[in-house]
Amino acid sequence: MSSFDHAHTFPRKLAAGAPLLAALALSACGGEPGDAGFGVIRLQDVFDDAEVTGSSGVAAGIAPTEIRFDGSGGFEWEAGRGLAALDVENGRLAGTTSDIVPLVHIERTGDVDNRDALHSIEIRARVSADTRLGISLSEQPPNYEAQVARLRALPWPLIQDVTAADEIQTYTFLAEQQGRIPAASTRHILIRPADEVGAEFEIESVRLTFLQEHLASIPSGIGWQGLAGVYHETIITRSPERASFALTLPEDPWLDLSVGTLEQSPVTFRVTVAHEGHEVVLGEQTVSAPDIWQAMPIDLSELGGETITLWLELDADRDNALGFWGSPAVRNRLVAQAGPADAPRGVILFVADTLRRDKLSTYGYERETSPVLTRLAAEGALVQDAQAHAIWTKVSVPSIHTSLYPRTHTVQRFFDLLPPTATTLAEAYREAGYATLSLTSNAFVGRATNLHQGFEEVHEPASLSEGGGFSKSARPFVDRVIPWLEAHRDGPFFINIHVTDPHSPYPGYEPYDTMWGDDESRAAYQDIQSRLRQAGAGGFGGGPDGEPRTESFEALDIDPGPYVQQEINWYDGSIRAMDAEIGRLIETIERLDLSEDVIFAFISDHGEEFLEHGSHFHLQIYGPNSNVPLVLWAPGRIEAGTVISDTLQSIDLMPTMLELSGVPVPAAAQGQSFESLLQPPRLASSGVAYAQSAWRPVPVFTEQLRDDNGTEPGPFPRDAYAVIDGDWKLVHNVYIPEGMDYPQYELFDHANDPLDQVDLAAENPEVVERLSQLIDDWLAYALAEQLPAVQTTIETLDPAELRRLCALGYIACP
Amino acid sequence: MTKPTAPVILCCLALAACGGTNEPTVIRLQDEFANATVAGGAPPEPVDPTVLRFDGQPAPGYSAALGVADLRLENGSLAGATTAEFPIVQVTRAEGLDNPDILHTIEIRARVSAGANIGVVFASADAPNAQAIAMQGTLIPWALSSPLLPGDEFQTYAIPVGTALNAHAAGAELNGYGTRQILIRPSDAAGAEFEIESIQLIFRREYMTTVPSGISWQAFDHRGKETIVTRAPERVSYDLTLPSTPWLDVAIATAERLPVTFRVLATQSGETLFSSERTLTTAGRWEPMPVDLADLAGQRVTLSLELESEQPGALGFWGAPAIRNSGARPAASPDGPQGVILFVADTLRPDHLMPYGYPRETSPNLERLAAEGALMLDNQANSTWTKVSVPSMLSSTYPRTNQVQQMLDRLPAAATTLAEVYREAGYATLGLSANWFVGSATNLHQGFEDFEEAAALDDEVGDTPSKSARAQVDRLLPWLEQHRDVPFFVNIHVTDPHSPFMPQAPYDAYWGDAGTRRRYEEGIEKFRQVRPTFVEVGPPAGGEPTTVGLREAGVNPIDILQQHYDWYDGSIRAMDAELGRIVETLERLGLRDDVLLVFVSDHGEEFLEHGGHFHRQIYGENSNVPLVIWAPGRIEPGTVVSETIQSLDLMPTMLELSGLPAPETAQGQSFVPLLTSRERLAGGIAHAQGTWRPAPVFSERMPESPATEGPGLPGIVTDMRLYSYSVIDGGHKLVHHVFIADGLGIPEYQLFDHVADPLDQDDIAAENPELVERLKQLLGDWQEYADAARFPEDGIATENLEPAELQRLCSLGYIAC
Repeated sequence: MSSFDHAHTFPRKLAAGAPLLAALALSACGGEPGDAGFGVIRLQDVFDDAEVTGSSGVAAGIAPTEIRFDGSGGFEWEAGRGLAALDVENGRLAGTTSDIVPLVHIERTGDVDNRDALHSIEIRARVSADTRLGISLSEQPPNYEAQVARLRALPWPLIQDVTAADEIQTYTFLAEQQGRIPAASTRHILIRPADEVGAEFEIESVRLTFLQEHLASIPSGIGWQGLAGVYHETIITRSPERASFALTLPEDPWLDLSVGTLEQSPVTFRVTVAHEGHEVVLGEQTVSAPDIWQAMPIDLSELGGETITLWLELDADRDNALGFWGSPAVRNRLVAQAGPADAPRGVILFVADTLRRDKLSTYGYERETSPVLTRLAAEGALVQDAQAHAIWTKVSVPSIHTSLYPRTHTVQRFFDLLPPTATTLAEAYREAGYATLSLTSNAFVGRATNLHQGFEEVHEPASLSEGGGFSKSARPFVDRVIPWLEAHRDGPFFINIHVTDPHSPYPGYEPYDTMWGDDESRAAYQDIQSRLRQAGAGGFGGGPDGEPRTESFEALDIDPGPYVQQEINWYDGSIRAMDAEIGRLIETIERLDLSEDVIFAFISDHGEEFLEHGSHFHLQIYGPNSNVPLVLWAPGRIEAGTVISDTLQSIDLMPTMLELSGVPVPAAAQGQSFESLLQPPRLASSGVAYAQSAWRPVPVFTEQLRDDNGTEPGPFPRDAYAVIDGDWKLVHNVYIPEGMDYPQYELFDHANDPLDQVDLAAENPEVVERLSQLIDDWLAYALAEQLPAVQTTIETLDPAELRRLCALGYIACP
Repeated sequence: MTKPTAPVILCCLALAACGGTNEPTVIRLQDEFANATVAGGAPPEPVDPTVLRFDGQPAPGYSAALGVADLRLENGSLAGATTAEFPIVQVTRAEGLDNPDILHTIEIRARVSAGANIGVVFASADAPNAQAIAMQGTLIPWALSSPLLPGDEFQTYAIPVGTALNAHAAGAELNGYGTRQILIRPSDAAGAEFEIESIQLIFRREYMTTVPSGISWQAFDHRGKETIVTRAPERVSYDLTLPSTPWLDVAIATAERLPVTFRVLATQSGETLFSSERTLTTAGRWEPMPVDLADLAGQRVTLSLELESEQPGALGFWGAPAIRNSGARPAASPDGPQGVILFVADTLRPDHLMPYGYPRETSPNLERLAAEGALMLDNQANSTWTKVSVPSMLSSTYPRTNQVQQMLDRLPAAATTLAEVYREAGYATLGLSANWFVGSATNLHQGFEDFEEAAALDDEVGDTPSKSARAQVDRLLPWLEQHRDVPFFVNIHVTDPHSPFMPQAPYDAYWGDAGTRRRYEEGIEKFRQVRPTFVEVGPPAGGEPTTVGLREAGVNPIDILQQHYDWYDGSIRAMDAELGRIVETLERLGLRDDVLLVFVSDHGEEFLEHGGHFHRQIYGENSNVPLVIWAPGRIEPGTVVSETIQSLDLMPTMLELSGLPAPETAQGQSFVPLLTSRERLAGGIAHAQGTWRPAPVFSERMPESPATEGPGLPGIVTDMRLYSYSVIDGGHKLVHHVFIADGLGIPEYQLFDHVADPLDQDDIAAENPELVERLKQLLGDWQEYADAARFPEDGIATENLEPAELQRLCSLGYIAC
C-alpha cells in the first residue's frame, strides 16, 4: 500500500525558506505608489509619503488608571477561590494556587463612571510555572462558581501564555480586540494567575488603558479603528492637522471615504485638492455625533489622469480633536479598462454558520428550505460533497480564508489569532485592487481571530443592534450591503458575509418559526424539554455543553424523536429565512446589472448534530458536521448546471475563487483550484482535454483538537483526525478522555453512509491501515508547513513595518 | 388687514395636478390614481381577528388599575363598578405581541350603567403607571374615546385609531407590542356598573381586507406617507408621457412577514422597456426605492406598479410615488428658489441668540446666516405654545380663525397650509417634527408627501420630545441629496431648547461649572419638599419652579435660573451645530444660491420674569421670537428689519419670495418689501404692488384643554394660570387677561412700552388710559374679525364634494371618515 502522492495532493506547496510577507507589506506592486491594480490608491497605504502639517502637539495627557499594591487606593481585593494563600507582601499581591481555576478578585471603587471604552490591560506579575494568565471583567460582582462552570464551555478572551520567571514581567492584553468593553464593565476584575495547582504568583500592578488615553498617546497616522462595532483601516488626524498626498489619479476616479470621530463636539472633515495652482474644496462634512461612521464619497472624475495634491483637513472648535478617515481610497470607475481582462466587478463569499448540507432543498431535502440557492446552483455549480476542515467556526473559517489546514494556520483554540504571515483571501483581493468589506455575526470571524487582515472595512457582531454579538438573521447585514453595493457597483469589490441564521438557539423569527411543524409538535417539544429540565439534563444555553445528549433521553426513557423533530422544524425555518436574504442580495446584483460580472460563492463552515452521534451542537468530527454545502454562481464564468460529485475541501475554495478572478493564488495555499471542473469541457483540436489546470482527486482531511480551557472536561474533549479518500472515510481518535468510549479507528462508507453511522473498521483492516498512513503523512506535511509564531515574524520586520502592522492590529504592539 | 373670503376655497383639498405645461415638475401617481387601471388583484386572505373575550379559558389578564371595585369575571363578561371619575381597567394581551402591523380600530362591546364617555389608551410596559396616566388624562383628554350609551343593553363602541394621539404610550407604535396593555376607562362617572363582553383589535391588514386598493395616508414607525396600497399580484398601470429627466421617487413597505417583491415596469404596446424590482423581507418600515427612468425620457409609456408574493393578497405600500423631473422648475414659479427649508426651533427666545446680541456664543451658524441674509428684530408669535402658534404660522391664520386652540384640536381641512401650496406648485414636500403637536395629531401633515412624526424619534429624555435635532438632520441630509435636482419644501421642527433643559454631552457642560450644578441640585431638592409633583422631565407633568414655590422652599431663584440658562444655552448651541450641517449640505450640493432658508421659533420661554417657568404667559419672554431668512442672491446680506411683524406674516412672505401667490385665506401680510433694498432705497415709497404697512399684531394664550378652563386643577400644573390676549400697535402692547388665578393679584388690563420694555416688566396702563382704550378697541375689532373668518367645520366644508373626493380626503386623514 503506497502512501499518497504529495505532489498531487498539495499542488501549491509553500515556497522554501522564509514565509512570504507579501500581504504584510501592504505595498504596491508596480505602477504609481499605492496603485494596487485597477488604479486604486489607498491613502492609508501611501501615508508614509504624505506630509502632515498643522500639528499642535500631542494632546494633553490623561491620568492613567493603575492599581498598585504598594499602598495606593481606589480598589479592594479579595481571594475569590482556588487559592491557598493571598496577601500583600512587599507591595505585591502574592499567593499560591490550590485549584486549576484560581481566582483573584479586584474591585475598582473610583473612576468607574468614565464613558470611555477599554483599550488594553497591562499586568505586571510573576508566576512560578509555565502556565496561562487570564482576566475577566464585569460590571456586577462575579459569582466564582458560575465562572468555573462557564469556563467549561467558554474560555476567557483575555488570556495569554506565561513562562515561569523570577522577575516581574509585563503582560499586555489587547482588550479592544474583543470588541467594545465600556468602562463600566471594568469595575470588577477577576485574575486567574495560573491554570494549575501549586503555582506561586506575585502581582505588582494592573493598569487599564482607556481609548481616549490610548489615542492621546499615539501619533497621527494609520490604525485600525472601530466606531459602534464597524472598523476601518483608518488615517487618524487631529485638528487642525492637514495631511497632503501627491497623487496621479486614475482615469475616472472617486474618493471612497467614511469619516467619524470620538469627539462629542462637531468636527469638520474637509477634502481639498490643488491642481495647476488652484485650490478647491471638494467636500466638507461636519460630524456632530461621536461613535458613528458617515459616508463621504467625493467625485473626482473631472480630475481623471491628473497629478494633484490632495489634502485631508480637520477643523474643530478646539485643537487636537480626533478625526478618523476610514478606508480613504481613490477608486477608478473604469474597472473594465483598468483591470486584467475578464476580471469580475465583484466577488461575494457568503458563509452560513452551522449549516448542514442535507437540510437544503438544493441537495434534495424534501422541504423547500432553499429555493434561491437551488436557482443559483441551477444557473451555476453545485458541489455535492464539500468537506470542512474543522467542526467549529473558530478553526474552520481561517481554513476557508487562507487555504491552509488548521494544523498549518495554527488557529486551534478560542483565543488563537491567525498569524500575520498567513495570506488571506481578502489580502489577495485587496492587493489586486478590490475594495474589501466583511460583515460577520460571529466574533470568531473578525478581529478576535485576526481575520480582519486584508479587509478595509469590517462589521463586527458588536455592530448589530441585537447586541450580544450574534444575530439570528442575515437581514441587518443584507440591509447594509445593498447601499454599499450601490456605492461600489463599478467595482471591483470583495465582500465576505458570515451569517448565523442556522446557528442555535434554533427558533427563528416570525413567520419562519412556524413555517414547519405545528402547535402539536411545539407542545411535544416543550413537554420533553420541561421533563429534561426537571431531571437536570442539559443547560439549554445553546452553547457547546448546553444541549441534551442521548443519555439524558435514555435515562428518562423519553423518545428523543419529537424533540429533535421540532428542533429541525425551527432549523429549517432559519435556513429559509436566510435564503430569502440571499435572494435580496442576488436581486440587488441583478438590479445593478452586475449578474454577468460577479462571482458568488456560498459555503458553510460546518454542520450541526441532531443526536446522530449522541450529542447536539457541533462537537464531533462525523458527517453531520463535516459535510458542508458549496454553491458557486457566476453567470458567464461558470457553466450553468455544473454538478461536481468529487469530494472537495474548503481550502480548495480560495484558489478556485482567485483563479476565476484572475488574481494570483498565494504560493502557500494548500488547496487546489477546481476551476477546471466549472468549465464546459474545453477540448483541444486533438480531442484531449485541456491539461493546464487539470483537477485531480485527492484525500480530504478534517481535524478536531481539544480545547479544554484549563478545565476538565472542556467542550471539545477529543483529539481526532479524519480523512476521506475515494469512498472511504477514516476517523482516527488520537486522544479520548477518560470515561468516553470511542474506538481508536472508525471506518465509514462515505458514499453510502455520509453521516458516518456504521463503523466498518473491523471488516476492512487494510483500508484502515492505508488511510491511517494518509493521515500520518498529511499531518507531518501540515505541521512542517506550520506558520511561524508571531514572535518569529516580528524579529524579521523592520521597525516601521512593525509599527504599521501593530497599528492595524495584525500583531500585538511590542 | 386682509378680509376673509367666502366661500372658503378648497383648492388644496382637490389635490389637483398642477397646471398645463408640457413639462410637468412632478407627476404624483397617488394624485393620478383615479386614471390608473388596476388589474390582477387577488382576494385578500382572511386575517384572523384579534378578539379578547372573557367567557372562555384562558381569559386575558386583567386588573383594576385605578378607581374600580369588585372587578370579576361574571356571565362571560369582565364586570365591576367604578369608584372614581377616572377609573381604569387594565387588560393585558399575551398573544400576537410580535404583530408588526399597526392598529386601525378598537371595538369594545360593553354595557355601562352611567357616564358620558368611554375611553382607551394603550401601553406596552409591564405595569403602566395608572395614577400618572389618569393625572395626564385630566390635562390631555384621551383622544381614543366614544360617547357612552348608558343602559341595560350591550353596545359596541368602535373607536377608530387612525392617526389619533396615544400620548400615554408616546414613542410606542400601536403595533402588537404597543397594544399589549389596554387601559380602559369604562365610564367617567363614579358609581357606574360596567360589564365588558369583548375587546376587538382590528389591525391594518385585517381592516384592509375590507377596503379596495387605493390611496391613503399610511405610517410605519411613525413615518407617514401619501400611499398607494396594493395587493399581490395586483398591477396598477398609468398611461403617461414621461418628462425629459424622469425618475420615480418612491418608498416601499409592507406589513407582511414573508417576502414581498415590488416591481416597477414600463411598457409600450405590450413590450417591456424597463423593469426594476425590490424585495422586502422586513415588515413595518419604509425603504427608499428610487428608480431612474432617464432612458425613457419624453416617451409615452405605460408605467406599472406591480406586487408579487407567494402569499396572494399580500399588502404592499407605495409611499409618495412621484415621477419627478430633475432640473425642472415649477411652471407656477420659474424664478423661485429650488429649495425651501423652514426650520422651526421650539421654545427659543431671541435674547439668547448671538444675532440678537446675546454675549454667549450660542449660535455661530445662525449669526452667519443673519449676516448673509435678513434678521427680523421684532417678530411676534401668535400664541405662546406650539399647539396653537404653529398652525397659525403654517396657515397664516389667527388661532381664533383656524380654531386650533386646545390639546386635541385639529386644523380644519379647509385651511390651506404652506406645505399644500408648495405641494401644489410641484415641490417635493417633507416634514420632520420632534413635537407631536406638529403632525397628524393636529392635521398638520396636510400637504406633506412624507411626514416624520415626533414619535419616530428615539426619545432621549423620558417621554419628552427629542432633545437633539441630530436624528432629524441625519434623516434630512440623505433626503436632500436625493432631491437635490428637484424643487423641495422641507419643514423641520426641532425641540432642542425645550425643557427639560439639560442637553446631551458635551453641551450640558458647555457653560456653568460644578458649583452652579451643586447649587441647582440643592435648590431643586428643597423645592421638591414644597412641590412633590415636580419632576425633572418638565411641565406639564407637574409643578415647575415658580417664584412663589421657590420662596416657600427658601431657595434663591438665581440658583435655579443660572443652571437653566447654562443648559438652555447649551441646547441652543447643540441645535445650531445641526443647523450648520444643513447649511453645509446645501452648499455642498451647490444649492447655496437657490434656496430659501427660514429660521424661526414658535414661542419663547419664561425664566421667572413673571413668576413662572415654561411658556404659559403672554408676555414678551414668550411672544418675542427670532426670525432669520437666508436666501443668497435673493436677499441682500445684512438686511435688518426692525418693524414689528408676526409669525402669520411668514407664509405670505415665503410664498412671495418663491414667486407663489398666498392663499386667499391668509391673514398675514408679506413683508418682502422690508427685505429688498430696492424698496428701502426708494425713499420710503414702497412698490405699489407689494406694499407693506405697519399693522397691529395679535397674540393669544387660552386654556390648553377643557380641564384647565376655569379654576381647573390647582397644584397639578402650576401656580401660574392666566388666560390672555394681547395686541401690539405703535410701540405699545396691551394685555387683556380673561382669567386670572386666585392670588396672582394681576389687573385685567396691562400696558407695556414694547420698544423700551420688550419683556413687559413695567405696567404703564394707569398712566395711559386713552392708549389702553384705543388698543382695547383694536382687540375687540380683531376678535370679531377673526371669528367671522373662521373656517367652516369639515362637515360643512366638504358637503358639496363628490363621494370619491370625500373618500380620498378621509383616507389621507385630513377629515374624519
